[in-house]
Amino acid sequence: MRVPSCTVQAAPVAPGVAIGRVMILHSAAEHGKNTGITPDQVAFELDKFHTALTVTKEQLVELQAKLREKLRNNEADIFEAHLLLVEDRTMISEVEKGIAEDLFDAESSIYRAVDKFAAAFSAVEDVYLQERAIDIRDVGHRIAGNVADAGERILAYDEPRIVIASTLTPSETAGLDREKVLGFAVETGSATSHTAILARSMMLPAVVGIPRKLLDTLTVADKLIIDGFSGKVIVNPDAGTEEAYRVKSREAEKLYQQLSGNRNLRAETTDGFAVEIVANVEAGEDYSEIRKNGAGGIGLFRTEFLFMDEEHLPDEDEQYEIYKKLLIAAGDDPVTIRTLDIGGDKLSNTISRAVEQNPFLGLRGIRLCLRERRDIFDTQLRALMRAGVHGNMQIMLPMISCMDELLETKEIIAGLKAQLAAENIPFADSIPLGVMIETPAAAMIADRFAAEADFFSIGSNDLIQYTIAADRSNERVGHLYRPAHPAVLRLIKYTAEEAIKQNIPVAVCGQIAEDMKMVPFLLGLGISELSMSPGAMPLVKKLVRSFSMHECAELADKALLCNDSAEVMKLSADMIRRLVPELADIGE
Amino acid sequence: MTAQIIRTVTVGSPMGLHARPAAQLVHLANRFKADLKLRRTDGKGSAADCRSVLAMLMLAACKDTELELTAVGEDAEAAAEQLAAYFNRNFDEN
Repeated sequence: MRVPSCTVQAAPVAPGVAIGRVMILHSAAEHGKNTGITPDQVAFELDKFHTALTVTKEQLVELQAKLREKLRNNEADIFEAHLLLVEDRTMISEVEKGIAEDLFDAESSIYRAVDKFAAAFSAVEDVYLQERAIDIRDVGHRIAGNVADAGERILAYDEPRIVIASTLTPSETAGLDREKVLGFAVETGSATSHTAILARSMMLPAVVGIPRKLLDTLTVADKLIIDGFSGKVIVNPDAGTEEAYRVKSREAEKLYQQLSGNRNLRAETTDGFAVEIVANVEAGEDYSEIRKNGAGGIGLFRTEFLFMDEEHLPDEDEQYEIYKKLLIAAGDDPVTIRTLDIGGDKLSNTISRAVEQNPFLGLRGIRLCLRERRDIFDTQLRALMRAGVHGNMQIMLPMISCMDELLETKEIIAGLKAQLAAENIPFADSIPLGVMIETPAAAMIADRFAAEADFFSIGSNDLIQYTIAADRSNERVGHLYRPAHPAVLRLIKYTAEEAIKQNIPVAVCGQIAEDMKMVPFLLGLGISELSMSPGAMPLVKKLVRSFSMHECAELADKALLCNDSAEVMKLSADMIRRLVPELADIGE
Repeated sequence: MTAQIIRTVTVGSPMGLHARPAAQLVHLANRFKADLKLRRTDGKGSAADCRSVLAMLMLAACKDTELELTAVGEDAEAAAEQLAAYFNRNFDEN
């Protein structure tokens, strides 16, 4: 049955508007529930089921061939029986009946048939035959497991859709066919989760925090509008609403086109202060495309993705080639590469298996590299120093909270340089080494760090959550995660002040660097570089070119004395409305 | 003329009519054109299509279960002969 028209409020994490039918990505844990369908979905579910049967058959033939090599013929025959089950008329017609007559989706119908047959076996007294229930469940599970994939495979030939899911792992997001995805609506995650980061880099709208109940009731026949500006999700909109959103979407597109016109201009305030606009980049992204969008370099190159393949961690030569390629593509533009930042919410299956009670306060980033995985750290640093000869590289250390972490890293680097020199391997001798300011501890001794580091980059996502002690992805305290909290602004102010005083650059590379209502404050507090997702750069350039540094500084002074983030946000919203009214509605 | 052959067979294998012999029966049945069905003589369940491995397993025939084999079609006799022989050989398990 179609879900009735309704509107739910979610959190916007990537701008834009998407209108379309949904693509449901199931997680394994959801198998086995009874999901109803409408008569017009029967053909689609039957198609999925038959595609899954074909795939299952192929898998079993392969499995059987492998076993034949190892086992006697008789044993491999067990899989022959499984193969026959996949082709079995009784089983197939039972599942088809479940879909066409009882109106359940393919997965549910498979499990219903399996349960029925397995129950018949379990009722038999003979223990050996009781165990045949296992064969049936095994095959049923295998087919059901292929149904979700089959759905995706079929959808690959269908019209583009809005992906909905409980959670999306980075590899799932990255594995989607970009041509077939309109946007994302996900239950869990945040503006800083990988889904959001990837959605922004794919320039697709995304919202997070859609209610579980909605997720459970939506089917492939339902249509959604997701508004990545406001966070609204409209289910099965009426014609008028849909038209209004199509207009809004076109206007946003038009505005974006206009903004793109000034993407190659300098980000300079009306009174002549320039700020660098650089890009946050994932491994595998094409820098030449990003430069076309107006990037003056890379402010944050995340290396975690290189370490995602559990079977194989990249060795020094492989990493060297990747960094070298990136640096050559960037030419003279500065490229800031962050050393491995794993732990907390990041993927860490092979690299550190320890289970921590509170991973965000645990062994992550530089802590993991220094304490547990010096092997990975040394390999990465050697690869970076070797690649450094090919371009304008800077190395950035994540999750710094104490001075000794920076000093120890400097010693390690000195040691590795001696090694490389002894081995007669060319390397860059004076790569700037910077620290991320993402713990309140680091921010509050910014004066000390500025004396030892070559640059600062404020990782605002973590700095905010550690300052306010609120996890944005935790729905019970997510409302407390407020980027404009005066405490956060004060830490940024102190960090920027000390950097300026000691003449080192200070960047911001978190979500706030592209948040329209935060940019005026960052300018006013003295930030010299904003690093953001490529899609946001034209908008931020337009903003910067509309303000004067003088006004931004005044605004920041006021913000530092505000009681709360609401007061702060009102200051910048008013200024945007006054100076760039054409952008004022985007964030509403 | 369509022949109909009815034979009675008994499961002799200690492991009953399990997955492997069920699969073998389907393979055997597929060599013939005749309609082939097995039914328990104790009246439990219904007639099972010998071309469905699931239906074979659903007979839940453990050792010593007696089954009635019905073959209908032009090669019914040869088919019934082959299937009955497979039962009599205790599913070639020894």
